[in-house]
Amino acid sequence: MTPIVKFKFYYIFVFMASLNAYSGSWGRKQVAHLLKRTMFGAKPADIDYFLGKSISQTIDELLTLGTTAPPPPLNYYEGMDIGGGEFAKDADKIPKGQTWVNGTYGDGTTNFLRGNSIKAWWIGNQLNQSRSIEEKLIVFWSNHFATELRAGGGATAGYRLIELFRTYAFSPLRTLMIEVSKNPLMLHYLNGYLNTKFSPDENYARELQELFGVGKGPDSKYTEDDVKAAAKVLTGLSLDWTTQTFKYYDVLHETGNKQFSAFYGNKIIYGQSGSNGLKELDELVDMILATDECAKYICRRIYKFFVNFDLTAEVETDIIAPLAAIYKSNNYNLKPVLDKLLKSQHFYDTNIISAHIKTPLDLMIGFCREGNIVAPSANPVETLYKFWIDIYNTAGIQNQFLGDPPSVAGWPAYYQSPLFYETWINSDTYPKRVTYPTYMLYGGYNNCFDVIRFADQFSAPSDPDKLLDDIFKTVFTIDISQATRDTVKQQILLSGQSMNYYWTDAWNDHKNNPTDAMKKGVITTRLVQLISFLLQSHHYQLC
Amino acid sequence: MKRRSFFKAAGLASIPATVDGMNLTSLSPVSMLGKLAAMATNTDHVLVIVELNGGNDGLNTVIPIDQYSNLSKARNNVLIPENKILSLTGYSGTGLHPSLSGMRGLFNEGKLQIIQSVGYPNQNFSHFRSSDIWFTASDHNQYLNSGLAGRYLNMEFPGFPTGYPNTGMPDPLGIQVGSLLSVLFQGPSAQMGIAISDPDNVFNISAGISDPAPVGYPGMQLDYVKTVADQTSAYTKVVSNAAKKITAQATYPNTGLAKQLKTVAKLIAGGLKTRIYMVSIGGFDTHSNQTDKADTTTGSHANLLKTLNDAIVAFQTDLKGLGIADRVLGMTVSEFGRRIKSNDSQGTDHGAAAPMFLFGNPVDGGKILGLNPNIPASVTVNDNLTVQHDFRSTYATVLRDWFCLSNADVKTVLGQDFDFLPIVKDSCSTSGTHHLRPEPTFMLKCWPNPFTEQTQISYEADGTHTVIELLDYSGKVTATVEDRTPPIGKAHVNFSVPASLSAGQYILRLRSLNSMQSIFVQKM
Repeated sequence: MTPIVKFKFYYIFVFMASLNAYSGSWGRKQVAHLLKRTMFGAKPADIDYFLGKSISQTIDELLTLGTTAPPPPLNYYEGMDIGGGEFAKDADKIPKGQTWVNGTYGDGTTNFLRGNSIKAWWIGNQLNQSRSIEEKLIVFWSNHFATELRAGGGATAGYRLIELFRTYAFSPLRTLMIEVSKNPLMLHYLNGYLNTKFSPDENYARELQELFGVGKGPDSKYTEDDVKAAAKVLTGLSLDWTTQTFKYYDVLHETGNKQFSAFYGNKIIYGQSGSNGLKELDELVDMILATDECAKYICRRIYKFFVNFDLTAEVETDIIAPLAAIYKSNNYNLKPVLDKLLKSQHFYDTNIISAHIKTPLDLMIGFCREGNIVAPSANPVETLYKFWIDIYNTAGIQNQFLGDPPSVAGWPAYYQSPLFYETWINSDTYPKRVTYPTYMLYGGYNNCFDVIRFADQFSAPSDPDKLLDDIFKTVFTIDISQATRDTVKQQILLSGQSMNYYWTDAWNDHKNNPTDAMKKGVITTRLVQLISFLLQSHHYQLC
Repeated sequence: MKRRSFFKAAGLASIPATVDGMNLTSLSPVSMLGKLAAMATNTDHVLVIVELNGGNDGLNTVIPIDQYSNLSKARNNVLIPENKILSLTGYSGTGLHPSLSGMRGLFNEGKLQIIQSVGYPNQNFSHFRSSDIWFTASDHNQYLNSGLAGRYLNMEFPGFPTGYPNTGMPDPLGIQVGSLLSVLFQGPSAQMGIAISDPDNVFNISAGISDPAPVGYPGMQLDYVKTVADQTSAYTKVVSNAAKKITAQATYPNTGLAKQLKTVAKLIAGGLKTRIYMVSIGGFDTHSNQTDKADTTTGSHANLLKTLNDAIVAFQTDLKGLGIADRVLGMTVSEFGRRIKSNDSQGTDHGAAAPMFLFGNPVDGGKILGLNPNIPASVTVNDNLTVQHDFRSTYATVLRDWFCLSNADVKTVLGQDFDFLPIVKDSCSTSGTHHLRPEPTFMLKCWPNPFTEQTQISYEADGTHTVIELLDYSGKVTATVEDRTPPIGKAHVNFSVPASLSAGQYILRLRSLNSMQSIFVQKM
């Protein structure tokens, strides 16, 4: 069959793919682009902050992880009506408002509610993120080492997995890969706990190679026998349900030698017995990391997550190969890789800026952050958690349930060729991507969005030209024509008139009489109309 | 002149081809495309694909009762007790999982067909690679960007979405019920289907900024977003209008799959000309706790099959009540079957071939194509079922006999030739007569068996073109015994076994226009 070329002719053109340091202009567009890719949305205050720094200072700061983890998720569910005349009760007697992460398993209902509490809390962390890539990296790693929080196991194990991604985001991959392999949620999700010498279960052994380690690229030549051998290495790894901790059963471990294929240099992992059997896991991970393919595979995933979907031959040669070399020579620490990538010419190429279709999380959390929303207070705790869950669910029905990707392969946007990012948008999800953020303008989601507070973030909201310029350059990283700006200004902010002072006067009238509902209404109506318009425009879907 | 011959005459035969990166169809004037589209094959036939996501355990779905003792050695902890297996009229050696009582009823009424051991050579055990293979209809080692339905619909409606919807085709070409769109619907250069989760509740997106798209990737993405918006606006109205027309339907169970099929029935009855629908049910990746320990007829797999059974039965009842049952053919697909040997976690790991169900009035039902899979007396963890039917044979047949494509067009969509199977009762190519001919009474035989250098193969010829082939463990044809049109009556062929053929088990398969038979044979 003829290979099928997706691109129409006008898309095909040559552009440079270079990791050389970017030295072009450092303006609102570049900063907004960088923030939208490495955080959730570009908050005007963050754009202004980084505009006062150099690109190098900016990226150094973004690549600094928090020194303390956010406070853990809480019991918000105690006493909640869970239907059937029943009210939620934490089975481990964790009181409302306290964290449950150090409790025991409890029961299924408790764990379901705790699972919701994690999801809410995770959304909360994203909404309240500091000026750091940390939260985006956690999503990256949770997509890479994909599990499903809803799949069972325990909520504590789920929480600990997310915290592994936070703790080891910039540590050698060896540590993360070993720790993930021993995490009870993962052991449960991919049946690792059922893998014994009496009956090997290949599920985790396969994904450790295919999805977590070396990938399925043309040069990834591991064999079915490698899957079987790896499964044997991993026998005996199990979990303790009650404490939701890792447990190793040496009596279930296959102590024979494990022979691997030429792809792994014909490596033999010699069988060990007793507690030493667990050391074979370290050897297995080292064997995977010793391949060149592993560094390349993960750099490709980084590229697709942060830069672009299209791994052209040029990108492979000029971007992936050198990044993989950096990754491997730095003991698989991602920080120098991202440092090189985010400071590169390639990352700021006009062909890369706005080449993403926003993920539902980028869309929802980004809208909240760029809108400078006010979340409800944490007293009582369930009000705030339910607000976060609303946002979680909204992103979910747009096909991105945080922590629950559709399969162990993660979100299709990062692997499903040829659509990639386009998988986020179809005739079902597109209307949802417009209507849900629009609800916020009309009091939905606890009335969190205040359109005047939104406009107040910009330098000169009384000047309609300046206001629109700031808004467009914050919300879009694609250039909007002067003709469109003029039309928007005239039709929306000036209600069809042509003099700027109509808007200026209206704005100042409100500011001078903040309690006058009529004067507030005049500008509120127009700002709601403006933001609805932004949400409706196709450009809003890109970042 | 058929549309496609016109199309070829116009010099645009190879739709997917690009010249210097230019998509030919995108250069064609819209009016021309509209004209071409109006000439698409005229049919009101509909295909409904039911995806069993995760890899369905075929051996616990369609159970080879005749090999029960070997099965019990290989998978005792998940095996259904023999007395609980549902029998099938005319096939004493084969039975169904007890959850499938309604589908057994459809089988016995002649509205459901089972195809044994469907798969492809060199099984890939990765979920996402193998489902890509199934939905793109590729070879195991071939990477295709477009899906089966995408390529078929692109052939029928070239240039889509430019110029669509139009008077010739006012409706979506394909619909996936839900909010995801499978690669199945990916065409060579556009998405040929749309996703709809609730046809009664749709929303139109108006255009915002109308600046022209920039070049490069941002422009490409922006174009895509615009296209979806335009299609959504154009199609949501026709879809919701179609949905509104149907106010009374049969009762469906309260499951996700049943709701999806209810939507499909509603849209077909509402008058949409949509050709292909896809619905999906997940959870078949039963590595553990596939069955309850105490009672293997219960547990997660039993629940999944019951959900499937109840949904399909309700769907068939509804189609009948709505008067559209003759127009709808259904098929189940799953990325792979599961291992013969079960694991110690009451589950089964990723395997190879598995049975497929074809259902609906148009199906030549009450029949099982192919043999029961062969279960060795001693099964190792690596053993998998032999492929008897390439999954693309079912696609090829549906395209030819249900959507009435020519053989050449089927080949264009699939990229190569595949065998056709007797699936459709009144197929387009045989004017609805072939099923009326008597079934051959004299079964395919091979003696001696096992053989070494020479053996004799006998069968009853039905007067149509007959092909007899020897297939190896992976389903690959290793030798052709017969390829001709013998006169009606008993036929014998002396087969000189090629020396190059290694010792082992093979399938001897006969295909004629009217029948398909297979037997296991052994070379010493």
